[in-house]
Amino acid sequence: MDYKQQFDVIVIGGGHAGTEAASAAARIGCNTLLISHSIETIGQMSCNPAIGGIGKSHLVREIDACDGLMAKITDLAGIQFRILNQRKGPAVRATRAQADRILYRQFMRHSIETTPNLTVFQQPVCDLIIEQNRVEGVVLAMGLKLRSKSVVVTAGTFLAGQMHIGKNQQSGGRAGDPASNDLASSLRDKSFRTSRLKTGTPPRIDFRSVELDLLPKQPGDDPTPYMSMMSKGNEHPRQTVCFLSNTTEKTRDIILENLHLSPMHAGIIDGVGPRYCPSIEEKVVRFADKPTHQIFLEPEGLTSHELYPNGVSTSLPYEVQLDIIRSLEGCANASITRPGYAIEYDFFDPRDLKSTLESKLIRNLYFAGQINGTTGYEEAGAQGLLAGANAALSAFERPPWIIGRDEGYIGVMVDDLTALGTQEPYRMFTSRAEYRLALREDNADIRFTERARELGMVSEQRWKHFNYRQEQIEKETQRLKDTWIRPDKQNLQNLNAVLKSPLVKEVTAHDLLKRPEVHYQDLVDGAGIEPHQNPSISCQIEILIKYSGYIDRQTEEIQKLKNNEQVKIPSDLNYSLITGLSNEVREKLVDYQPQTLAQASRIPGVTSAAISLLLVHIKKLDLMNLAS
Amino acid sequence: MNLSDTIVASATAPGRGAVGIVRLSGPKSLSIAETLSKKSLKPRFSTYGYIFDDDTILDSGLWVFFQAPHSFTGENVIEFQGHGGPVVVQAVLRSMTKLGARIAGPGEFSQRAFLNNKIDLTQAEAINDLINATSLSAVKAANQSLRGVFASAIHELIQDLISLRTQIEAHIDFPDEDINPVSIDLFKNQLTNLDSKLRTSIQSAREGVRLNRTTEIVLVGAPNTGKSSLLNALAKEPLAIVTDIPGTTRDLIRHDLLIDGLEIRVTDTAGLRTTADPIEEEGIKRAINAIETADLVLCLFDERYDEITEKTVADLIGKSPTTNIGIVKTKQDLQTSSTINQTEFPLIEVSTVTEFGLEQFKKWLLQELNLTSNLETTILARDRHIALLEAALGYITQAKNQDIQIETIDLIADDLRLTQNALSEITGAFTSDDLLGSIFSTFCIGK
Repeated sequence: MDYKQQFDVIVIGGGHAGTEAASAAARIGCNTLLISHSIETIGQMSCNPAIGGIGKSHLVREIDACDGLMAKITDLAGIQFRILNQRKGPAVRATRAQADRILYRQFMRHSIETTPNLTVFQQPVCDLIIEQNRVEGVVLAMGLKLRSKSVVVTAGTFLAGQMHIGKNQQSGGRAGDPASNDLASSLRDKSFRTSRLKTGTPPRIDFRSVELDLLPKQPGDDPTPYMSMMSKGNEHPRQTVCFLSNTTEKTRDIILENLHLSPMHAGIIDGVGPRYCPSIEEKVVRFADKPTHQIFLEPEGLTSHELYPNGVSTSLPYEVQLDIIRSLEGCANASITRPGYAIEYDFFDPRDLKSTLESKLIRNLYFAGQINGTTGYEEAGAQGLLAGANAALSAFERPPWIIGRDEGYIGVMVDDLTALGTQEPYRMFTSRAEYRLALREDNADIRFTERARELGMVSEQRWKHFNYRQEQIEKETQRLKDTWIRPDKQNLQNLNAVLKSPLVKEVTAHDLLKRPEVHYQDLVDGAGIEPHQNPSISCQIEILIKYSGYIDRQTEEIQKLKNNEQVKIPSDLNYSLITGLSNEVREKLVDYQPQTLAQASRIPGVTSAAISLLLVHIKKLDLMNLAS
Repeated sequence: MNLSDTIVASATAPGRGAVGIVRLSGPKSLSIAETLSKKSLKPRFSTYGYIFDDDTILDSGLWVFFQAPHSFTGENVIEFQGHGGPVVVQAVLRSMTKLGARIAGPGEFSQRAFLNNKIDLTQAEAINDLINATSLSAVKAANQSLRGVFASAIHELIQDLISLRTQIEAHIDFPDEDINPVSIDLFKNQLTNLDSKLRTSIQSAREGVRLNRTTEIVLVGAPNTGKSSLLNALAKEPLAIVTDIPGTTRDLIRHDLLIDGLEIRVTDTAGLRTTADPIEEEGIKRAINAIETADLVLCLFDERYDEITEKTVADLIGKSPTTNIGIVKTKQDLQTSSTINQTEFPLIEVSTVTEFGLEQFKKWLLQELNLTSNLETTILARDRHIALLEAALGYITQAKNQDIQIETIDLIADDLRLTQNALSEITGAFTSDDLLGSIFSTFCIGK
């Protein structure tokens, strides 16, 4: 049976990727349908109740700059906010928030349900309608067929999941959820490449059973930071604290005694786990000389009694988990509310996707989130934004939106995934971004808002706010350029105390700020300059001036590589026709299917001579096309 | 491969020609030429002038400016036609790389010509062949350049750099992990250490180039296999005493041959055997030293050998062959059978009595030494390495000159990333994922 209404975009899944995708498509003006197997789980934080952190907050800010949801919801649901790397350079500063799971889900659901052009429907999806390599809609478990111009698949939480606690195994998705297997198996039949990954979670603890008084507190920052650029500073609920604990020598002994019971060490699990998130078993074994390991006890919410012990992910049997938890500082009498587990699951090889997150095999079909081999809400949300926007653009037959590695962390992530694939759950780190100095949390709006506005994703209100900020930055920069400071000015001793060499001739405030040792505040304190009423404006100006030499250098580097980015490799290129390519390189190119020369050059083992041969061949094809 | 760069290369074959032409192509070529000549150059005109390195005159010659698109590559092309000879050409190339030109990759001038529609479609295959041939010889040349002490210095340097980056990046990406606190003093020390190691490597690479300017080949073989006879025949004069008595040659005897304008130093050695004679023993020791540093070791075998294997060669030179080895089957006039058993080394037959194979021998030498014109040479490979080391040093110096503080750690990290990129072109890519791998194996990360 066909449903009578045709949609522009259907999004399968209501997790972090699905909500951003649906919202982006609806903002662009598409008649959008979000299908979830359970409306109650929309916006569910199924693992660690935190948003942001190094590299991740950059993604959240980029979503925010496009008027996406994650940052705004985090401000409404965050119960402890910190700025990490506060003392380090602005490029690597990052905001991290502890969120109340329940509030987050409620605000996210509310936001989705009140988005214009967006309809929500609860029903499992069991198949896609595909005609001539083009997706035409979805088939629901109840047999109903829904038609749409494009489809975004985000139903990726633990496909074909296999959970391990000790040597017990059971099939399932996120603890308590069914594994989404119907859609996965019908997708697998469509010749997408899949592989298996592994990850783990810690047991949860009842915080009433922990001696919190014995543990150091970790409060949030004061003033409380915010995630969204649009925050008015009054969105946050009551704030709370995290606690610091440590493993003890006893913890280590318990683990070493019971290692044979770990499914990892017993060889039962063969999926590849993330290097950055080893289980407590692995930490103890690999870093045997470290007597203790730090554990963060994070509250799951204002109304929850559960704590999330960050750092003790384990898949040992329940009895051993209890012994481990009780060996932690301050946890002698702790009780576990949910056991930890390791889980193996399927993902679809992201090298089968284009930079728009559209499938290379089926037109108008997009993938976002954990299904692409990533981990984390932020990574999922950012892909959701890009996939949702592109699904909408293609539904309207508009040109696609591609984000370069030089434009944002979203671009870095999507390029890493689509060009190189992944061998472990992919998580963002700032060291993945070669243009890190230019891609900062503080300038996400400058990098994204204008483009997102052109695409139709940005509200009038944000657009005005953005323009106002830009104007303020310009005006303040001009004022600093017009403000001259004379060496004979009174009361300059505070300024001269900061300066490496005292002022000898008249100089503008702007030029003074170029000196590494001078900060905006020094101009206020030492040279009597009236401060701008908005500290984030003066901060932005200071960063722009201080970084300008480095940013210029990166711009030059980006320009140099632009050529290779712009050379597109035809998707039907027959690599066997290129003379001189070694078999090894040819096989790699066929396997990776790079979309641009730049992507090809990043494939390990593809030599620069091979890139030259490829470039000559592409040019030859162009000339032949011209001739015919 | 980057087409927006300005590239430079010698357009004449390596060796001692009368004229050495260095060609620049790309957006910066005119400004580089005008800086070096201190003249303004006119399109389609040749201008006589000097080439200055700061205020030192490197050479004098003709500057020719082919303006885009009317040039071989379709880009702005400058040719400097100066005096031949590897020393001058090296210095000219270096003055240009210092101003931002990059030594051209294999076949890159032709490739640019093709991409700019200067060469028609029918020649596309020929360009691919050229890229292939030159890149193979480039790989070989780079490997030769990266031998011995220079290679181990570079690897040590890269290990130090990775270790420093691992610490800095770990502090940036994992501030919540309980890893050792940032030590700015330690970073400063490590930067200074990297800086001085880079300088030493550049110095030793330059000295290596100087040594390499004359290609060295060494003749080794059992006593009385005809080493001295071969040297005399090549030199066309009796340099070495030749007798029927094994062990006649004691000291090393050297002769500089000129083949196709290329200088090749041939060293005759004492026949290798166990001896009680202290003078002959010293001669054998010197022979072994000469083998270590040679570009090509020629192992001589006469009619007494009918099978030559890796083991025969290893026995002869006293170790398993690591350098380039060529086999010369001597006394061809005395060969009893016309067939020689297979050997995995390149082989040639000669007779100094009948002069059989001597002319062919010279061509064969050039080929085995990888000195055929237009192909990449060790000298060029080394030059490329020096240019990359100098670029790396530039970034390290910039980092070192920073006011190093925790606040500027992201800037220092960027200098170090670019240092690594430059060095990666010598020893292979080191990706951000490799860096993460190094962090995870060094520190216990896992909040």
